[in-house]
Amino acid sequence: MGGLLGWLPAALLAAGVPIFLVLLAASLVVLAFAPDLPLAAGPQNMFGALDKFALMAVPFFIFAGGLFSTGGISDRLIRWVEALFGGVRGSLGLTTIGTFEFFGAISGSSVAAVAAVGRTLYPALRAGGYDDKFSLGLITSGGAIASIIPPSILMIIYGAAAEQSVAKLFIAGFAPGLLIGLFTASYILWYSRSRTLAATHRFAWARVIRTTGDAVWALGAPVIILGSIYSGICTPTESAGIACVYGMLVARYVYRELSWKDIFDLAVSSTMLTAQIMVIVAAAGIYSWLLTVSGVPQALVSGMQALHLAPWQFLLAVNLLLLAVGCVIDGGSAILILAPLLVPLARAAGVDLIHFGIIVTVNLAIGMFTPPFGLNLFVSQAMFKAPMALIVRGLVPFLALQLTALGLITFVPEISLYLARFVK
Amino acid sequence: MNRLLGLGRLLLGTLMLTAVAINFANVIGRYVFASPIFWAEEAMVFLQVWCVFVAAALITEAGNHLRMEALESLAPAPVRRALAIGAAALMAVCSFTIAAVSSRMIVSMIENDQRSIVLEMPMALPYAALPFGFTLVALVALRELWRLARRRGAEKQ
Repeated sequence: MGGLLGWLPAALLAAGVPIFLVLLAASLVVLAFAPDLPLAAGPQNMFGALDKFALMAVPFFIFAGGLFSTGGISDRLIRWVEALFGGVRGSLGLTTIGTFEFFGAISGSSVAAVAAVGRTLYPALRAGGYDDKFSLGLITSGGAIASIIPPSILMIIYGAAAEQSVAKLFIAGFAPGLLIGLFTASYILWYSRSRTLAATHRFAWARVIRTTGDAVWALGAPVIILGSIYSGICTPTESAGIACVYGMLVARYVYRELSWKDIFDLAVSSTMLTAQIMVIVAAAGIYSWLLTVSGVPQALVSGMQALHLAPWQFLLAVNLLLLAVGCVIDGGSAILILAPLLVPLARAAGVDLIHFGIIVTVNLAIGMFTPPFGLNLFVSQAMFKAPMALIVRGLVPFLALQLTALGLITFVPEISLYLARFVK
Repeated sequence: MNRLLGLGRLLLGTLMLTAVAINFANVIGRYVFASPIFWAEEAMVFLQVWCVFVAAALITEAGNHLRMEALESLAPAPVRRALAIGAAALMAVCSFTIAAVSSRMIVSMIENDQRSIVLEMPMALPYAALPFGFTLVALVALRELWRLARRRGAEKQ
């Protein structure tokens, strides 16, 4: 049975069959030929996989992200960050990375971040003298930060799959997200000095105060989302729902950029986007149950123990696997397929499962822009009408920076776990 | 069929906004009126289940399911077409199977008067999303299969 659950999904996946159908078909074939397993276990496990309140955070954060990016909030956030960094050489690059950090704190989606930030800042970077290759690389890779800075859709899915606290995962993602931002900012400063790029404008308190006033509602979003979670007022799911109400009210009545019809259409498209992931969650429910009852994870743990791998060797192997998988499959699907196999291995290797969740998230966030099939590559190609070869060349230094940060995040657990220890 | 899918979109938006409203009312009820909505979490989860399986049909119709296109895109056109036909047939068979098995489960739930823990709602109601959604998915897949077969026939002529 275990073999069938391995080669059949691999063959269907390679044939381009939808991922949910890959898991569903493989599971139904196994159920049909296993006399002691009832077929009714299929729908039961599909329902059970979705019957988790924590997963409601996914549609809520996707809807909130849509409201923030189309309702005028992200544009005001960009102007505010630009006012802060405008007086520094390399200010536009720093503004881009700073906006990704802030946008990450209101939206958990890498693709949404690339689209929202790139729409405004890519033309600004080009006009500011940054070459096309650098601008494309910065914007395309910057989306990874939004997947790592909380709230993060990938962390919610990992939390549900590995039965770990989403609030702990969120706080553990802060320092890794900031670390990647700092690495990128250092490169931007070096790049702008080597090309003698000018600052956008002189730093002026008047500009900061004016843009802060204009962006005060936008700045309230991360305060509400993260403040409500860590003050203990709301669970991450409730906080995501509150963010939706906040986004609707600000976009409709404060900035007046969305009508109620626009909001309804956004609710529909957000639900559709969510369902692309959730239908895989449902199918993965049967698949991971079958893996467990057929003893695959236990066999893998025994096999790994026989190899006598040190934890660092195990983590290195996991990084290589996840980076490879992240290039060809979206992050959420990769977690759902691999978590039932990798989490028992990580536990057996003595790796903290919150730290492991951050390693998984950072790997898959990098996978989102890694050639040949990272989704953000195609977002940038479509939005900026740029040749793929140029985007890929532009990504090289940013990929190297993020891989270096990944190495530190993997082998220095304190980067992730220091803050997580303060959450009960 | 198209009208049914249009109704599905309307249902999705309504269910999502209802879930947002229940969540908001629950938090406000808890902190402002010291009276949380005790059934809120269960209701939201059931709404989510309905959203996912109704949306699955719309995603199938739009051809937007997440998949790994890396190797398939390298194959020649006739192979890609054959793979598309195979995937649509597999989708129809698997979806009808889930719809049929879950329908039998629902009948058994009604007979046993199985109810949810908090809302005490008949469990057949949230579970009905499975046969409803997967029947729609299967029908959409059959229509796609028909389209692909007709296109192939027209090309041969």
